[in-house]
Amino acid sequence: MRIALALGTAALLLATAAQAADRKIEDFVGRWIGSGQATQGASNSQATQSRDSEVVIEKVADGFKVVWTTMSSNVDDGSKSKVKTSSLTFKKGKAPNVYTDVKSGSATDGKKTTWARISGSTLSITQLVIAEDGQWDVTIYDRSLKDADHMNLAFKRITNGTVAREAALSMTRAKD
Amino acid sequence: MRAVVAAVAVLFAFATVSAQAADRKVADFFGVYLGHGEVDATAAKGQEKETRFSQVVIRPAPAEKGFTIEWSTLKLEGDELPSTANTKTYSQTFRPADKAGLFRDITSGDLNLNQDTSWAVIKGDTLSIVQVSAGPDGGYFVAHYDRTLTPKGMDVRFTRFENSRIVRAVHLNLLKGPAKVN
Repeated sequence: MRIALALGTAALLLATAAQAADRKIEDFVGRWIGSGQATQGASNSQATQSRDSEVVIEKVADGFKVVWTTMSSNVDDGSKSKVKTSSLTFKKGKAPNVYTDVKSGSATDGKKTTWARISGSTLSITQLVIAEDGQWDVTIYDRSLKDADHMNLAFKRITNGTVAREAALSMTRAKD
Repeated sequence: MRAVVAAVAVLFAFATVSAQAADRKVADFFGVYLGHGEVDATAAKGQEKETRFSQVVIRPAPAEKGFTIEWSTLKLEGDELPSTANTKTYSQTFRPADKAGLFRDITSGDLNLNQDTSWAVIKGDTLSIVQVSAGPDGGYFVAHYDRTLTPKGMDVRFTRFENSRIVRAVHLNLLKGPAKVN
């Protein structure tokens, strides 16, 4: 009985430790497809856009590359759509699971400062841009693994201290 | 005669609009301000009411040709006065950047090197100060202060984001005191 209890406790501890450990970038590698909605302004505002997106995350020599294509359509008028593709390449930072965009520069010199980190099950990519006149934007992409094949994307843009846009998408790993 | 009156009226209207649109000079903010406010309910979900008393001193920094801002905050949770004052004081000095109305903290560094970055900008009646700090683990915070001149003093709006979430939002009304800081 005592042995069973000890084994049970050990299994629980192992499970907790596994949950607490940060994911590795390999866990995010793949092609992901999904959709969701975007809101403008405060988080309780109504959806203004529907979004369809493809994200490809791949390992490169000293880090990873992420390429994402998003089609944004007005909720009221689906004919008003636009498609945008973006790409970032990250190299390993000094700390484990922290990466820096290979093109990252100093924001106060007018360059984009971009970094990524993995915390728990979430790969976060953050970008700070300061315009010439001191106005600023922070853009955050939080990609959280629900399981091996499902991921939630939470996008947020903060402009001059106010949440300007948010989007939430559910994504599934594409089986190529 | 009617045409002259109309022309003068139009000129006056333009002058008024232009004066409203013009950005303040940093010297307009110099002074001592004191007042209080509360933590925004939306940012303090589930928290007890929190009142803050604040003093702000903005003075010239001649060596930097810019300005220094010092602010002290006393937190008051609930309606009772605390047995010990939970007071914090901060100070930053800014020098002009290469654009009018834009300033950079003299200690501001490169976020890529985990150095704190801070700048200030004046737009209309508002002096905004932004601080961004990223730790070695990639976690970060952004603190944004909007200090807007009012007829009697200053309106302060503070928002703090930690890893993309608003963790604190505070609104304070400060009155300008008679003390000279020049």
